[in-house]
Amino acid sequence: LIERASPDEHVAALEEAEVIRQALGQLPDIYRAVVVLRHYQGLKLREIAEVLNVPEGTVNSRMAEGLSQLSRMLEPQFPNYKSNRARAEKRTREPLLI
Amino acid sequence: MKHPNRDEWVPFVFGETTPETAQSLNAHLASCAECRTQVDSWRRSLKRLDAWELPAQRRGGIFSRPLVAWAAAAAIVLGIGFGLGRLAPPSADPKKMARLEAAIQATLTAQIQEQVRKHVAAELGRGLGQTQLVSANDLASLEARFTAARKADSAQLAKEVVSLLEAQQDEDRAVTEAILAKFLALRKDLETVATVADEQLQDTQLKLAQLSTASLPEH
Repeated sequence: LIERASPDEHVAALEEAEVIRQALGQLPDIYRAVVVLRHYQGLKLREIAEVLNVPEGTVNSRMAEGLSQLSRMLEPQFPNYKSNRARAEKRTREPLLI
Repeated sequence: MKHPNRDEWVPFVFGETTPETAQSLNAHLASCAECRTQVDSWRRSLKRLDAWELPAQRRGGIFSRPLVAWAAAAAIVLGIGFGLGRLAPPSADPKKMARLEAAIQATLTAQIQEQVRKHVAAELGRGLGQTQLVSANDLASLEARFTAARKADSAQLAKEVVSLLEAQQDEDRAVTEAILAKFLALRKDLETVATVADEQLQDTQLKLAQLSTASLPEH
């Protein structure tokens, strides 16, 4: 973040980080756990299954649901992707609430 | 068109499938807009997650290594009683073994609890309690769980810590991630200590088992 060129970009990056933090915070615990363990802790799906003491299939289904919920929360917040522009325009852009 | 199950895309997105599976899923993706939309949106979300990092990674950590090491040692040493039973000669009197196990566990538990308690006090003394991330109750709860973790395998300890995580009622959601991060560090430490201690422990267990058949009075 601190390496960004302009103050505006720095603020934008901080805002983006806050949106992500809030979205993760809104994710139910069982989904957040697998997302955090994979993405931030770098554990393999097999290792997550071991740590959480659940079958690997359960990790996969929790991850699928977690990523889908995250996408539903984040896509309206970042409507500047071509692929989801149409959908984002249809929706009202609601702020994330915590 | 038959779509792959949604869960099947998870290992694919993280690059954890076999090359054959990846090839077949890639082929489906090339011809199926519906699945492509889903996979793309997952990938975008994962990329966006990089905009935020775990508080634990920035702040360093809640618990210092000595406490973690002691917790790990506690779990390992408390498992000694279970090892004794396996190592004892078949002719050993079960009652004698049970008494010996109880005596050893009582002594070791007291010693370890004292050590962990000292370290918890030291942690709090260093101002970690002021971070509001970890209250004295959290530490006391951790201490209780570790000293109660009689089986030394990491899976058992993992369950204990995961249940602690599940019981976490803190309003600050970041705490869960921070503790999760510490749990992973703890698990790594536990495995390291376990590897190093295993040989010594087996040697000690053998000696204690031999001692038990020689020195306990008959009854």
